[in-house]
Amino acid sequence: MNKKIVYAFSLRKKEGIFFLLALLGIWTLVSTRFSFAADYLFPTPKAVAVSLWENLPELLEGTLSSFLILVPAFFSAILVGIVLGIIAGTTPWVNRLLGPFSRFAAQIPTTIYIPYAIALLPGFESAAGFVIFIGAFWPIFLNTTTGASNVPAHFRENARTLELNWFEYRAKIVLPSALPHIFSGLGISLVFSFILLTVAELFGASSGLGRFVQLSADYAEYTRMVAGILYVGVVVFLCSAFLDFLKHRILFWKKL
Amino acid sequence: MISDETNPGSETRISLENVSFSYGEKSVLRNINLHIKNGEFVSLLGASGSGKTTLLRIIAGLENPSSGTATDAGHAITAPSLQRSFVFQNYSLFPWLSLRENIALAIKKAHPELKRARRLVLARRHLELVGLADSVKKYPFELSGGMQQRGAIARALALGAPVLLMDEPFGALDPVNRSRLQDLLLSVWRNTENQRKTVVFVTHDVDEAILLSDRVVMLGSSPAGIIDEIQIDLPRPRSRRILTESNEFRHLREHVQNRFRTEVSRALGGIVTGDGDAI
Ligand SMILES: Nc1ncnc2c1ncn2[C@@H]1O[C@H](COP(=O)(O)OP(=O)(O)OP(=O)(O)O)[C@@H](O)[C@H]1O
Ligand SMILES: [Mg+2]
Repeated sequence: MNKKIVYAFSLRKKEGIFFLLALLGIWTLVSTRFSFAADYLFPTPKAVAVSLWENLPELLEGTLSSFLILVPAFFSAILVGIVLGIIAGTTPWVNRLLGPFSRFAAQIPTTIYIPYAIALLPGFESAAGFVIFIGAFWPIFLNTTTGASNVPAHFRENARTLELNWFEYRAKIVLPSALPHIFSGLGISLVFSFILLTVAELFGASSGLGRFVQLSADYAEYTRMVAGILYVGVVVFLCSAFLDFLKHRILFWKKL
Repeated sequence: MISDETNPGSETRISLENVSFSYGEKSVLRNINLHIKNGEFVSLLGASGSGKTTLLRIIAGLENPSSGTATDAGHAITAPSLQRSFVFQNYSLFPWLSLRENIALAIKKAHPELKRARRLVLARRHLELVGLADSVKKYPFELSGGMQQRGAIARALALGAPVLLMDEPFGALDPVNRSRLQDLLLSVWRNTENQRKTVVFVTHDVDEAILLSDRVVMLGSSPAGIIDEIQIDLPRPRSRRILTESNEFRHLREHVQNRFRTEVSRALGGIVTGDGDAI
C-alpha cells in the first residue's frame, strides 16, 4: 500500500491493530458468555455484523442524504473561513474589529443553536446546513487567522523585496505558510461537522445517519443501532484519514 | 576622473547621509556616510554584530533609518523595490515552491510581460548558472544549505535588478563552489550590457572582499560607524593565483586584516589580545 495512505490510516503500528482485535475478542466474550445485560441491549459482534450487512443499503442511502447536507456546509465553511481568516490575520484593523466578537461567538457550543435554527429556517436541510456551517467555520477561521498572522518575518521580507501585490502576497505566501494551522482547524471542523450533523438529525430529519440510529432506538432495535453507530464511526474515520492523507500530500515540504 | 573599462561610473547610485539606526533602545549604527557609485562593487567588512546586515537592510528599504537619509538614484528609500535585489544571510527560498518555481516567481515580478513557459526556461537557465541544473524541480527541503543559498543567488540574478545587495552570500559554500560563484558574480557584474550592476557585498572573508571589490568599507563595533575605507585598485580581471602572489594584494590584505583584528578584539571588550591569547 502507498506509504502515505498507510500513514493516514495509522496502520503502521502493529500494536494498534492488536488492540483493536483484542477489543473485538473481549466484546465477543462478554456478549456471549456473560449476560449482565439483556441480549437485545448488548448484541454480539456477529449479530451486529449481520445487521450491518442487512442494513447496508439503507445506511448508504442515509450517508448520501447526510452528505448532501454536510458537504455544501462544510466546504462553504472552509472557503469562507480561510478567506476571512487570511484577511483578518493580515489586516490588523480587521483583526481588532473581529477579535472580541469571534472570541465570544466561537465559545458558544454550536449544538445549542439547533432548535433555534430549525425554528428559524425553512426546512430541516437548511437548518442543519447552517448549524454545520457555523460549527465548522470557527475552528477554520480561528486557526487560519493564527497562521496568517504568524507568517515568519523572513518570508514577509522576501515577499516585500519581490514587490508582491496584495493578492499575490496572500495567495502565494500567507496561504501556504498558514496551511499547517489551517489543517489543524480542518481536522477539528470535520469532527464538529459530524457531531452537529448527527445531533441535528436526531432533532428533525426524515433520513440520514443520525436519523437511522434514532429510529433504531425508537423501535428498540439495539443491534441495528450499534451497527449504525459503528457505521458512522467508520465513515468519520475514513473522512479524517482522507483529510490526513491530503495534509501529508499538500504539506510534503514540511517534512511531517 | 577618467572612467575606463575597469572603473565604475561617476554618478552616485546609493547614498547614505548621516544615517543612524537603533532597534528600540539599542543603537546599532551611528552617523554612517556612504556613497556608492553606479556600477561600483563595495564590500562591507566588520565583526559579527557590527551592523552589516542592518546597514544592508536600510539600503534595501526593509528598515528605515532612525535619522539621516538613504537614497537610491536620488530617490529616498522607503520600501523594498525590485530595483534592489537582496540575497539574505539565511537561505530564503519559499519552501512550498520548487527551486524553479521560486526563481520563476521572481522573474514574473521583474518581467510581467513574459509568458509562463518563457519564465520557466529563464529560471532553468539561471539555475544552470549556479550549478543547480540537476535540481530544478527539487524543493528547498531536499537541498543542502549551500544549494539553497545558490538558489537564492540565482533568484537575485534572475531579477536583473541594477542594485544587488548580498549578505554573506557565499558563507555556506565549499571552497570550489565559492570561487565558482565569485567568478559568476563578477562575470554577471561586468557583462551587464548597458550599465554595470552596483553591488553591496557583506563578507567576513578578507581575501574575498579584496578579490571582488572596488572598495572595502569597514564597520566598527556597535554602535558602528565606518572606521575605514580601502580603495582596491588592483587591475581587473583579477586572477586568484596572480593576485595572491602580488605584493600589492599582500599589503592590502595585511592592512585590512590588522584593522579587522583590532576591531574584533575591541568588540569583544579586550578579552582577546592581538595574538589571540585569552586573558
Ligand atoms: N530585530 C532586532 N532587534 C533588536 N536587535 C537587533 C535586531 N537585529 C539585530 N539586532 C542587533 O543589532 C546589532 C547588529 O546586528 P546585525 O545583524 O546588523 O549584525 P551583523 O554585522 O550583520 O552581524 P553578523 O556578521 O553576525 O551577521 C547586533 O548587536 C544585534 O544584536
Ligand atoms: Mg549579518
